[in-house]
This record gives sequence, C-alpha cells and structure tokens, in this order.
Amino acid sequence: MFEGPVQDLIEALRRLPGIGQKSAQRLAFHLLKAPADEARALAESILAAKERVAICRECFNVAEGERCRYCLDARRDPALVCVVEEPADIIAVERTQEFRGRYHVLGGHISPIDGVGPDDLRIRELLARVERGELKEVIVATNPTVEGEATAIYLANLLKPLGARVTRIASGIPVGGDLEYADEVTLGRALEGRREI
Amino acid sequence: MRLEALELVSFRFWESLRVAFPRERTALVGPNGCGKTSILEAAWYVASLSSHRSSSDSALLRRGAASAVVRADISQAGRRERVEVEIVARGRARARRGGASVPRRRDVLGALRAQVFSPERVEIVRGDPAARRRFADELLVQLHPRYHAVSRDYERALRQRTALLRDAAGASRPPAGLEAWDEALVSAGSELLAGRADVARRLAPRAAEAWAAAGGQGELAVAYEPNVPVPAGRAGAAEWAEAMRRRLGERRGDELARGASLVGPHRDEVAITMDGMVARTHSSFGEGWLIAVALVLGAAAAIAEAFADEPVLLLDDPFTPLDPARRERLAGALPAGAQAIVTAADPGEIPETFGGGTLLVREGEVLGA
Repeated sequence: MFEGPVQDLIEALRRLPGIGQKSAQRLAFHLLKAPADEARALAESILAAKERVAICRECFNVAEGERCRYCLDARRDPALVCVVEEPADIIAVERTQEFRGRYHVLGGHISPIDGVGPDDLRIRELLARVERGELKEVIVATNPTVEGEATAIYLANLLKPLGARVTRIASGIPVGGDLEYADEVTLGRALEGRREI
Repeated sequence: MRLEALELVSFRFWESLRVAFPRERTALVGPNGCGKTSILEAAWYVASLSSHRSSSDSALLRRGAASAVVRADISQAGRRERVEVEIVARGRARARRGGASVPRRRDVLGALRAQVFSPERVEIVRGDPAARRRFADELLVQLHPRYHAVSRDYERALRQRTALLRDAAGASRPPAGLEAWDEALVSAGSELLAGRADVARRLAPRAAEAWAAAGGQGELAVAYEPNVPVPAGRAGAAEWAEAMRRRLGERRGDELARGASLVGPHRDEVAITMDGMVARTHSSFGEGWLIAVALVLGAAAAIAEAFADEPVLLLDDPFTPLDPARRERLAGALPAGAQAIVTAADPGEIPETFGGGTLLVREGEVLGA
C-alpha cells in the first residue's frame, strides 16, 4: 500500500480493463517519473475525449460530432453494412482496406447470464435502417464465440424476412499459417466453409 | 506411446520433482499421503488438461503458489517430444509443445494419450449420470482433441440458454432470442451427441472384454442412452441436430413452464449393466471397483485401436481391495506393449505378474529401487 495520491492513482488505473495490480503500479510510477507536461497532456486528452467524442447517431461508432467519419464518407457504399460488436472491431475491419461499406455497432453481444438481451443492443436501430430500405446487404461480423454466433443467428432470423441479404464472415485458417499447426476447431470450421475453386 | 519422464513444479504437494520411467511397467510405492497420486494426476493433466480428482485447477497448486508447471517427455515411434503445461488459479495459462509456445493450451491435447484409474473412478459406476458423461467425454477428447472445445462451447451455450429460460419462467411467450440459443445449443450439442454415440460404440465391446479378462463374472454392457431420440442408421452431427431440433420443439412448453433446459446431451445417460442389472445400484463395492477398472482398460483399448498405438495406463491404487487371485488376473489383463504406471501403499499388493521396476516415493523425493 502506498499513501495518498499515489495509491489513488494506482487504484484508478487498476479499474481499467486488462490492468492488474502490478501493471497499475508500473504505470503509476512511470507517470510520476515523467515530465509534468506529459502527465498533463495525458490527463487533457482523456478529458478532451470524454467531452468531445460522441456516439454516431447512424451506426453508434464513436464520432466527433453527430456522425462518424465512415457515415460521413460519401464514397462509401451506403447499401452495404458490416455489423460489429464494438467500435474497436471497426478498426480491425478497416485495417484490411477491403471493406468500402458502412458499419453498425451493436454495443456487445447477447448474453442472458450477464442480463444482456436483444433490447440492450442497438438491434432495433439496425432493423430501422433496413426497414428504411437503406441497406441491401448486412455482413454480420460478430465474434466467432458462442455468444457472437448466437447474436449472429438472432440477427439473421430478424433481418431475412425484411428482404435484406444477410451474410456471416467466414472463419478458418489464417493466411500464411500452416495447416499442420492449425487447431482442430479452426480447421474443422474451415473445412465446413470450403468453396469451389 | 511412452511417458519417458515427468517434471512437476509447485504441483500439489511437490515443490519440484523430476521422475523418469525407463521401463514399460513402473510401480510407485510409498506410504499414504506421500504424493504418489499427484504424480499420476500430473501425467493425466497433460493428457486431458483436467484432473480426475478435482474440478478446480486451483486445488492443484502447491500452497502459496500462483501457478504450477507440468513437463512431460513423451516418445512415440522413436520421436521424442516435450510438452509443458502451466496451471493457474486465475488468468491465462500457457503451454509449450516441442519447445515452442502454442496459441491455446488445448493445442497440446493429443501429444500424450492416456487413461487413468483411481479409487475416485468408482464414481463412474456408482455415481450420478454426470460422472459417466464426464468419463465418455474424456475418452472423446482422447480420440478427437477438438471435443475439448466442443464440450466447453456446449456448456456455455447451455448456461446462457438456461439463464434466459429461468428469467422468463412462467411467461406465456418465449423470451426474445430463444431460437438463437436453440441453434447455439444444437450446434455444439449435436456434435457431442454424435461423438458420444461413437465413443459408446467403441467402448462397449472392449470394456466387456477387459471385464472378462480381469476375472469379472457375468456380462458387462455399456449402452448410450441419449436424451434425444436416436436417428436411424449411422447418424452424423447433422442427423443428431435434426433430432435435437425436433425434440426441442416438442418440449418447448415444458421448458418455458419450468424455466430450464430439458433437451440435450447434458441429460444423457451412459448405462452400465451387469447381466442386465443396473451396475449403479446392483454392484457391490468390489464389483464396482473392477467395473471401473474394466471401463478404463476398455477405453485404453479403444484408443489403441484408433491410433494403432497403446496409450499410457495410469493406475492409482488399482489392487488394494482385490483378493490375491483377482490382483493376478488384473495384472495379467494389462495389454502387452502398453506402458503402465501403478501406485501402491503396500508393495506386497503388486502381483509378480506385473513385473517391471519399483520407485520408492517418500516425502519430497522419489528413489529408484
């Protein structure tokens, strides 16, 4: 236990996701050693983010205004939408530079154990987008976990009757990977999702 | 397949131990509570990523330790491989195979194929259906390591779906999203059903043979009694999925009224009978013991057949309650060419037909004798 502000800082850092006691201490002492400007810059960027960053009213991605940069970008195909669980997943899809459509952030996945039902996610808003006739294809890119798959099935059941094309991202062997070292679950799914060449 | 050596760090009672098994047959002999069982438990952990004695990994850690490590040197067809598995109470545990880290711990499954017997295994015969399901699933993982993930996914889907039904119990309409959880349950459940059906088919004749070889009286039968109607013919996961969906439809009303998941492999039974009598209620203690040994040897024979290679037999205290004639028969029933490691508190229990070498286990050390 440290005293006063140091301990407060450690405890505040510890509340962040992925940070345990040791990491919190290391970060706290790093900040204490750092020049005052650096610490102030960090504090200010946290405040600025909290004050300025809003939620996009179209897709619920983080935005610096009413709409996020992807919804504002007129070059992107408005009829194609990729559904993800969290804003961070958009970054992952963007890194591919392959996707030129828009997004829809659900804000998580369905998980009855944690009390998260369909109404707690931005599903009604996604349905509204489809009902307005804006979307022709919905790509469901929730995580390939039990909960992510269940969420994907739930969405497909709702969206298909509305006439939208609903697709699910494939899962399989990473490119550059070796079949020999692929685990059996991944390889099994890759075989299931095989296609003609 | 041979387990050449085993190394334990902070595992149960052992702070640090390395023990080699140069011979096909090894007896670990020492007084009660000296740590013999933990050595077999550590070997089984490498083979199955689970303990046969404890459902919680934290029980495997030496008092005060945050993590334990088990290393196993395994040889098969002249190829030697080292597998290292970390065990932690909390957080992510690592594993290495052949000197390289693997992305997931389950990637080491299949490196060591084994079967384990211990006095607790009598539960398979005399305990709840859950103990028999667990035994079937362990064999399934030994035969097809991917089932480790399948059964974990099934548990998760089941917990989620049950939570949904419980919160909506008594409601007139199904809760939103139930069909999605039906599919999640069916997706993993149908694989588990198909896998268990296959396991029971392989296990039944070989357990009966092992039972006869070990001197059991009467006919031992193992039969899979799945919770959903058995599809016709040699059904795969797709056929089991159809059967499960149909059954879910039939029992929808009951599930909603009771707020519970009533359909799926979590309600399976693997029936064990002796001359048609249910072994769970009709076997004596000694019979139950020998049936459990026969199941373990039967499972080992199923693995041997599937891989054309004998798995390692880990037998904790197999001889104690048996009379000398039965001990002889049991030792004789161990398959030739299979490595067997047994434990005994009393060296006199080990019949001469077992052969092999003896290692003396004392508090904190293992001595060759």
